[in-house]
Amino acid sequence: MELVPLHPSEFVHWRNAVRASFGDRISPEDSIYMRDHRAEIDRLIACKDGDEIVGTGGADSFDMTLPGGQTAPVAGVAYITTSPTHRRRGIQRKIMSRVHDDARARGDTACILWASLGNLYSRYGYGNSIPSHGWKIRGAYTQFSHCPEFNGSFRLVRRDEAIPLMAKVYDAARFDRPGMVNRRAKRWQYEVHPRKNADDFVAVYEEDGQPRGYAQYVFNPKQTDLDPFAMTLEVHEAISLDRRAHAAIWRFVFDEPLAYEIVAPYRPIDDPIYWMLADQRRLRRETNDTIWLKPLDIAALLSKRAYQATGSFVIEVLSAEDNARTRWELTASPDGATCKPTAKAAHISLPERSLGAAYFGSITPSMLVDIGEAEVSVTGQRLLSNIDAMFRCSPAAWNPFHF
Amino acid sequence: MQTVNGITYRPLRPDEALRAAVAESRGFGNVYQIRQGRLESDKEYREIARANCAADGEDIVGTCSGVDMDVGVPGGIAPMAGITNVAVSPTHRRRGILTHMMHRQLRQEHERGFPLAGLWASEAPIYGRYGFGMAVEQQEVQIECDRSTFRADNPAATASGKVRFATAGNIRQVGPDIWRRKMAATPGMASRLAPQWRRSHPEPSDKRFDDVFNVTYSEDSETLGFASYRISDSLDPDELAFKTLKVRELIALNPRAEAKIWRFLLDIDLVHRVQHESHPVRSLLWRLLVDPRCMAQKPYDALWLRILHVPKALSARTYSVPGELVIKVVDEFCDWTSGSYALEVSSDGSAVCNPADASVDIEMPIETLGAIYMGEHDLRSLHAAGRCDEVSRGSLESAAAMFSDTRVHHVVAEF
Repeated sequence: MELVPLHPSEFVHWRNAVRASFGDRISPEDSIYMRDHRAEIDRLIACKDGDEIVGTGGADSFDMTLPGGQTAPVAGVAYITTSPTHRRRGIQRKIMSRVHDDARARGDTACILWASLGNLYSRYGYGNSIPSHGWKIRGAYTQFSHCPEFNGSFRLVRRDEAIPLMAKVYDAARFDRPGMVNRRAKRWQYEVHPRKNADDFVAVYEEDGQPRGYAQYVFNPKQTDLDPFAMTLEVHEAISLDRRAHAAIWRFVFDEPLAYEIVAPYRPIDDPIYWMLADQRRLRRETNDTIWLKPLDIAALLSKRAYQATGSFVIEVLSAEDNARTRWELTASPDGATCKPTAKAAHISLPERSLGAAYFGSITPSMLVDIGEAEVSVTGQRLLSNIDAMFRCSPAAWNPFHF
Repeated sequence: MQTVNGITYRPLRPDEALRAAVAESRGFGNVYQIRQGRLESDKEYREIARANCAADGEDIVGTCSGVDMDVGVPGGIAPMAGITNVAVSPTHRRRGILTHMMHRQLRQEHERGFPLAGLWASEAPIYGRYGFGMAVEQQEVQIECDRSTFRADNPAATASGKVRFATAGNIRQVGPDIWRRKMAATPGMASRLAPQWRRSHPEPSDKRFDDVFNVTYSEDSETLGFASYRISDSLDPDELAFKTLKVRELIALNPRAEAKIWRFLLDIDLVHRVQHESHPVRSLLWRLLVDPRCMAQKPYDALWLRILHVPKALSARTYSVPGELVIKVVDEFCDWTSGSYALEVSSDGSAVCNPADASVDIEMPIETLGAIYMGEHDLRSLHAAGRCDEVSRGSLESAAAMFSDTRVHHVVAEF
């Protein structure tokens, strides 16, 4: 078996292998559309057994928002599959290794991914980094007790009209939310297309003729004892530029008279909706892992993010690939940070998956120590609560883009 | 005593315990059942409470009590009036009885010097109007035991201590000290008083609790944690004879004890599912699991908090980052807290807070201050919901950072 860059002529074949390993099938036309609007062929890898593609992997290139609003290039790792006929032979490990080498060579600061299974990726240095809330709420219980005033207007727009409006909102909103990644023009055509989501509606909220927020949603049947025609409104994506637009978009969605219940699978864990509802308990939330993160360029990741507390410490990171230890001196304050290699003794020492888990603040360094995923020196122990405060991330990280 | 619209608001008399219990039960939709020990325990509970009532002639139509408690806050422990037994008879609803009772109770707690009042809400929309904010959440979790492997270097692997079965009496003996120590490190955790210990861990002769198991975890001779649980047959017909274990409570003083007790519960033979209704949101257990998806997590509102005295409350906790802030508080229900306050946090996180004339940085209603007080909730989210006004530019971000607290928040038990 050999690992090879994907040859463009084999794309449809490769795509079939990816989808088959995830348990579904795809038409050649859909694969071609995906190739032309999403795939970066030179980032894709095939593992071949003779002529057969038995393993796949690759990445999409993204620009990700860090805490504080700066951005950094990351590899959005995807397409990681092994054919069921070739399990347990180390193919995935080889593919992951190639994907990581390639990302480093391109200057990506981190690899991020949505995991198909929860126990797959920590062995490769990924940490459970950005959790999200899945929502379910009955339409009848969506009254707001608090709501920023809004007086713009709503439009339901056709897809071709929707994309530039959505892109305008998303491209500005992503800088305010750590964890969000960009979408290139072609990617929008891939994500908002009948091939992908034929039944979706897009509602846009506008002020002075300018788009300020949108919701992309679909109606699914939801039969209940009382109402055979009830529907579930599923929000695929709702993005807003400010609190007015956020309130407006959700009021619009909640007021849909056909919606017996409203669900939204991936929402930020600090969404203001919780504080707007008159009956907070009616918003049924479930916490899930969403983005897993593996740090690649530690100096860049740590120096470009913002810190809410002032402090300086030495952090030692253990590589998942070769167990190599690197040490970094981080000096940070709300005004900026530097992170440089150092030979000084470490205050805190952790595997790279743990740095990935802590990077966006969803787990504190203290808890990493508690669960045995980090070690601290005596001085480090004294600094620990301040390090917890430094790593806090506000607003909470979120990535609504299921790439 | 005060009579308004024919309803008299007054302290409950000692001989009215049974009638108060009946009235309260009606308010919650239950018929009061006199079972073994129950009235004695309810009486005892009311004796430690400042029990008040609303009476229509001889009939008790409303109940409301305040209990002297403490609560863990960031960096320490503060006194809290635990508001409980709040109910109005369905025959007397929509007459403002709850509003009257609540106002009297809160004034009374304030006069007794409590900086905070806290409660568990039967329904979420009720208490915001009285100045309570949603301060600490918990979550209902469910774990599939068969997938619940811990990470390799987890603290249970090296824990030298032992899990042992214990009696309810053992727990009542070792529990209070463990509880107190845990509370000091756990914002949101409310104290448990002696009558409450007798309720939470009664003798097995009490038929309602004859199926409860108790265990302790000890290292050498020191008890570092305990748990209480029940095991029942699964009601899911697809699961054949599988059993479900329901954790009533689990308190551990360090990660070793916590991990070891969880491992014990997850590994019990015949049990394939473990549920815990009062699990902390920032879950150590979730982070111990190799596969986080074997645990479902559903957060809900637990402790609602009402600030009764702003300077006392704000100087009772520590803060994440130093800074100065003038907060204007608006309180229509307990007008004595309204005003502007200067909060000064020094580099060690301790704070002084005093009424101030200085120009205001940030303005919020009292329930917003209650919601952010424990440090679990980000003021930025409340601002985005329209629950606070940033008066001076940049004050929102610095206030949010100061008030945030990254400890594990946990209320643990209803009161």
